[in-house]
Amino acid sequence: MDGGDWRNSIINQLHVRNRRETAAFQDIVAFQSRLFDNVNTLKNENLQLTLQNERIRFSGADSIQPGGSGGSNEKIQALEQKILAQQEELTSLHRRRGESSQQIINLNDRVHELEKQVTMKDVTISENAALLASLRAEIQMYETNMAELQTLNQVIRDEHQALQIAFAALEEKLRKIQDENRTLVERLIKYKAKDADKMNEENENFVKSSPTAFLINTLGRVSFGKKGEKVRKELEEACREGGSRSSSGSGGNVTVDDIGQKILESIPYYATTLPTKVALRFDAHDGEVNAVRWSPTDRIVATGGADRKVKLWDVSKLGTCDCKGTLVGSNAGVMSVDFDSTGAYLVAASNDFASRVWTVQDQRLKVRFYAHFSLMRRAVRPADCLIPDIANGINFQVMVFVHIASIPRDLQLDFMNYNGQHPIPISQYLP
Amino acid sequence: MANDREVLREIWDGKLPICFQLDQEEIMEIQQPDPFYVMVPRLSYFPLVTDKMKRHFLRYISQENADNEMWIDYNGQPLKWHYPIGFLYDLYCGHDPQLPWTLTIHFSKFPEDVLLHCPNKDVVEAHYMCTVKEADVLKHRGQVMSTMQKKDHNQLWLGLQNDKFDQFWAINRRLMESHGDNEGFKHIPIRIYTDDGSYSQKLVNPKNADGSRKILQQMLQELYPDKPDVKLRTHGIEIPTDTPLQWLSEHMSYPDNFLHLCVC
Repeated sequence: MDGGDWRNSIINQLHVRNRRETAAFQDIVAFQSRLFDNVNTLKNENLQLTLQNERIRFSGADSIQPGGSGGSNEKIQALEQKILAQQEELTSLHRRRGESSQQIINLNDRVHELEKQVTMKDVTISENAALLASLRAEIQMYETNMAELQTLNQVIRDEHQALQIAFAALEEKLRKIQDENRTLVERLIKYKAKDADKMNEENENFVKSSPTAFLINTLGRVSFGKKGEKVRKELEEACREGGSRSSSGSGGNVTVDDIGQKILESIPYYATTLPTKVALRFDAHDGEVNAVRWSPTDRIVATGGADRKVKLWDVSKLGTCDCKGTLVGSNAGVMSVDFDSTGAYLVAASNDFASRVWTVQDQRLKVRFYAHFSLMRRAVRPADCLIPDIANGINFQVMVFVHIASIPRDLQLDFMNYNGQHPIPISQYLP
Repeated sequence: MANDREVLREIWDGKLPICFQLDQEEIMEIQQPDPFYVMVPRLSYFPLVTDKMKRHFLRYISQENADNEMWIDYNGQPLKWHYPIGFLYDLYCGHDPQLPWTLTIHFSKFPEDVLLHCPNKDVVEAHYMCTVKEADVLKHRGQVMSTMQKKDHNQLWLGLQNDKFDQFWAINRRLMESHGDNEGFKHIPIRIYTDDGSYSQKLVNPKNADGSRKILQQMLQELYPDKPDVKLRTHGIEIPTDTPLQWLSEHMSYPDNFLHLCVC
């Protein structure tokens, strides 16, 4: 080329430059980079080795280090034995678990059974509760009944007391009457004796005065002499006995009657007609028959007796008598019976101080009332009763004759108004 | 014609020892990273030679900065990646050579107003091809580049990237040929840089008005009429002032076909 100095200068400078910049550092930098690479590769290798080492150590820790020879073998054996023991324990635990599960099943069954029992018991409890309630109601009923009975009992006791008092009064009266009777008998005997003496005297006088009479007297003496003396003796005995006994033997009385024959003939004669022929006869009551009443409408007879009963008798067919019914309810002997004007009701007064009304048709006790509550305490008993009027079928008036024991022979007339439930006294009359 | 293979080879073989160091503020590890020494071709670009170095330093920075773009500075001056490395060395260290050249690596606080972003090597290639085309427009009105095929462009780039002298010059030679009737280029693609990094690019004709070859001295007199003794440096050497511009452009252009000259 046409290079001059400038080209040589450039070439030289480039040479110098390359020597300075490149050649001086080429080797050392290359060496450095190689060292650098080496360091890097070694580092990587080191890292990998470390990792590998770690991994090996890790796996070594996991598995049993081999090469432990005898000692490790023993260890292995011990571990195997341990494993065996653990397995046995495991099987035993399994067995126990099975047993306990069986137990659980049994217990569950029992629980079910017990639940069933509980439900059954609940049912019985509810039943019992119902029973209890019903029993309570019954008890309530019985208590009310008992209260009623107690009041009734009280009433009866009162009646009893009243009866006692009445009885005492009657006894007293009886005693007085007996005394009176005795004195009367004594007096009668005295008079009879006097009469007898007087007759004897008259007879003797007659015998003495007339021969026929004398004859008769003698005849009489002949025929009856001995007898007459005998009679006189008996008479005297009778007089003696008369003090102790109220009534003497029939023989004695007849003798006296015979003796008093002439006296009776002198008494004025009363003509009476007495029923002689019995049309029908029947036994009505166990005790006395205290009251009899015809029904105003039907051929029915009501009788009241001491056996506390009122009986209805149908006498419509001649010669026979049917018991139509028995009206019960009285606590003592029935003293009086009466029908109302229509014949539908029947009232009976009893010795228990009560009067009761029945219906004739169905023979049901309709009402019971005591004659007078205030007087009853003072021993009142009804003597007689009748029903004069019926008003409207429900309200009717009852006339009750009340015998007041404390005032004998007095009668109290009591009008009671009955309107369904309780009799109300409307007026009182004292005759 | 660029037929002075000795000069071309010397220029091609020029390499610089560089010591990369990580910025102290970005070290997140207890262990200090070793400085990274490497020989880089003067004609290459930084993004093409820093892969290994980047991998080395990534281990020492915090994870949040790992994806950030790396940038390089020398004495607080960010280095532009789109200039050849050798030119950068001449620009900043030409008058005070320090070898190895110690550079600092940064992963954070990217100086957006100074540097272009360089996400990958395709950007470098695109920039390189742009510069070559610009130079070709100046030299042959773009006729050579437009007649080249895509594979020729690729070969040119791969030759530079892989530091293959023959592969590169097989294509580059066509760019250095003169066309037409007259010898020489239409204009010389030349950039003259001052110390502060700014450059001036002027249309420079390789011939004088009388048809003789223009030498560097004459060009400097045209450009700097008031400065008699301006010296220019490129490829680490001071250019003799009597060097013809045509020869200079053919033999001492950087691979981007530009003459990057520093005023010293």
